[in-house]
Amino acid sequence: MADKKVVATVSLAGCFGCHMSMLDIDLRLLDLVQLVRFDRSPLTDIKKFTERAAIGLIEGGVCNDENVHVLREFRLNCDVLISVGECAIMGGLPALRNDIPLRECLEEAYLTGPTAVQGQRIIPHHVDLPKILDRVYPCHEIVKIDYYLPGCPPSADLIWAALSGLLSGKLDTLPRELVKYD
Amino acid sequence: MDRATELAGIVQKFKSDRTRLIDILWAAQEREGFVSHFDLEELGRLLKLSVPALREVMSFYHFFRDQPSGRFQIYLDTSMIAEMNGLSEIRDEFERQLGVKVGQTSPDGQFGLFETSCIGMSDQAPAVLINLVPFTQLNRQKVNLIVHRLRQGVELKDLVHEFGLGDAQNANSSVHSMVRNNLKKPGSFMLASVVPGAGLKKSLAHSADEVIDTVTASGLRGRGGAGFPTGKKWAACRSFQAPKRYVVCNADEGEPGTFKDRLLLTEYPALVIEGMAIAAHALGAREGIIYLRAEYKYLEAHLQQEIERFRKHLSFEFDLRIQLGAGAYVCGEESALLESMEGKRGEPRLRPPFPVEVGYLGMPTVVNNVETFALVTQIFNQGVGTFRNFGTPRSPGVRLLSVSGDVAHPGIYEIPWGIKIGDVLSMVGAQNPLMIQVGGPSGIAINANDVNREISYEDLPTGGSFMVFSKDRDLFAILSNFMTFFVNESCGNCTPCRAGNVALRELLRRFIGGHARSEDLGHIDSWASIVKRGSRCGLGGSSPNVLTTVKAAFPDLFVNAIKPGADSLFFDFNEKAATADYDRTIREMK
Ligand SMILES: Cc1cc2nc3c(=O)[nH]c(=O)nc-3n(C[C@H](O)[C@H](O)[C@H](O)COP(=O)(O)O)c2cc1C
Ligand code: SF4
Repeated sequence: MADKKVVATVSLAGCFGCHMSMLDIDLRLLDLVQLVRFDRSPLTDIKKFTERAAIGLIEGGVCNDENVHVLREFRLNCDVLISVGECAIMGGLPALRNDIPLRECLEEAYLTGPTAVQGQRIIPHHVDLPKILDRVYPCHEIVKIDYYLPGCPPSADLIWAALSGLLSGKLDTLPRELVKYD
Repeated sequence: MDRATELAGIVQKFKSDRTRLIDILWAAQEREGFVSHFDLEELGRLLKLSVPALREVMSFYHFFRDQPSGRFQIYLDTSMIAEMNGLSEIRDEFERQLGVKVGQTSPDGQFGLFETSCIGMSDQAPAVLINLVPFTQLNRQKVNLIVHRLRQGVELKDLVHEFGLGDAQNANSSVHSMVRNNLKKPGSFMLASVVPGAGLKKSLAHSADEVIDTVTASGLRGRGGAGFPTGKKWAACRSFQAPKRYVVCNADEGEPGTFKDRLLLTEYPALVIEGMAIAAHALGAREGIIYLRAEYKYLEAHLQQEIERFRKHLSFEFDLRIQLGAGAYVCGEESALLESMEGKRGEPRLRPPFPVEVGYLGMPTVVNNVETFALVTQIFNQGVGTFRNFGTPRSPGVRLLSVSGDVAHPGIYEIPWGIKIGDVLSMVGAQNPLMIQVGGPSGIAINANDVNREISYEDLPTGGSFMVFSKDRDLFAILSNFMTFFVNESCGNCTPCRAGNVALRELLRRFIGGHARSEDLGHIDSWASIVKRGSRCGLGGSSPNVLTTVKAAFPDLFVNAIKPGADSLFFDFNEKAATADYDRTIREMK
């Protein structure tokens, strides 16, 4: 067991689609668990790093101060950090709000939108709640990111090729058909 | 007359011809200073175009407005040279006097304050256009006076008079402008005085093929920037069979820091018109068009008068008209220019086919620069031999240089190709020079120590812009201005150009803001390569050059801007600043 590499994963401002795609590697999951042990990750529900990880996979961009802290924690605890998917790499769908004043976003979400509770005039805020940043940032503007896996989400095959390649130390360039989308 | 009738009249004047849409929009904008939604609906109905189709064209150009934008529309020239000569003061003074910010119109509807790219006045910066009338060499006091007078109801024309008319033809009633020529060195070839019509007469004594042979033998290369051999271009155009051919003069002069075509159009328009007529003879063309940038609208009446005056020298049918642009640097690119002349957005075409085969209205078309035509006339006047006495084997002849920046004598110089940088610097009185931008932002930056380099196609080609920056200047500020220019002027067609120039500017800002990391040096090169290789036209094809050539000429500049410790795994990120907006919003909404 000792020679298994440690992997950590997290979803910041993402939709968990990239994690789903990771699970989509199907039977290769069995190969994967022979090779790695998951530490901090929604897959294990471990909330704090228990040991240093070889690889950290980041899904989602950075939309609030908690995301900033978590991302820094990952950088501190992982040898190699990978931005997985459009949101981590470019901010993705959440970054559509970057041109809209924060006030308008909050009003739409909590006061005027169709899902807002009628008659309620409360914008949730509390010291324990994350503070929303002025805009959504890609991960590489907060910490150094070593690799990027493009896609929305990146395909299971791409994630597998990257992970297995890195773990075996044989990662060359990724096949073009896995990273070409048009 | 009600507005609908007026618009119908405009459309009728242009024979309901959609390809004249730029003229139609100008005419529609004349009355109120903007084209309203009502106007667009009317025009759309008359021209059988949808309102979005009209808006698509209109929104491409800086000077078309679809909202009330003031009776007096003031456009600040934001070029680097203007920035060095007090742009921020005059911007501030206009804002203070008018009580509006750039981009806004005063509540009384009198003044609109906007920005635009270089207006071709770098030798008399900072300058603004007010309803397309240039006001040059401004300072706070003069801005104050302008606003005061216009509020008093003084006419622009009289205000120009009060400021003092410029020299020579600028003072002529057909120009009536405060612009100064600043011709510092006339040279002996291009501006030599000649008998009007003599060159054309000589050319008419020869067959079309012989005329083209003469131009080819002269080795003349186009003066618009790309330096394509003029004879070869004409021969190619002639080789395509077609019912019609066109001669187009590119007077878009948009490259920041160039203003030499302004001089030619002001003082020597006959040379240009005559050159076009010679081309018409060589090509068998019966129509010619001068595409005049809107920034030079103040020269339109003058040019029109010169065209009329030249008619007596024409022994064959040759109709010449002026097509006014509407503010867009990329329209200087020849295929974008043709699109614009056809009443469309000025987006460059895919080539081939080149304009010599499929040009204006689908016909073979020669597009040449103003200066190229003037030189053609002089070559026929003075002979190929005289022309070739100047210059180098691959860059024969002379050219005009527009010199601006930190020099004692900004203005226009006739130089032979092959002149050494050192000689130019002493000729123009360069002051403590650090960097020279040869050929404008799309050209090449060199270290002013490279005095032995020469201006030629062999070494440093140029479309005529020559900007000198002294050791007191901040190179990053210059780069930033240039990259913003490209971001603003990209037509948006190619993603590498549209997004890549933004990415390059962001990278630059990291160096300026002290957030750059070592790998960003490589990022500049890779983005530069993507933009250059992935772009349809010369705008994206050359916009990264300024970054890469400054980086090469001043290697320490970028390296020294990387702070020690910048390569840590954790980047500068000001969490407090990034959440301040949230804190404030929550406080306000409680
Ligand atoms: C972005 C861009 C802007 C240009 N602007 C001008 C211009 O303002 N004037 C000009 O003569 N040529 C300009 N050119 C060059 C023209 O495309 C074309 O090469 C030139 O007009 C041909 O004339 P010439 O052979 O006489 O130089 C520009 C090119 C590009 C790519
Ligand atoms: S390179 Fe830039 S300016 Fe030229 S066509 Fe492409 S997007 Fe337009």
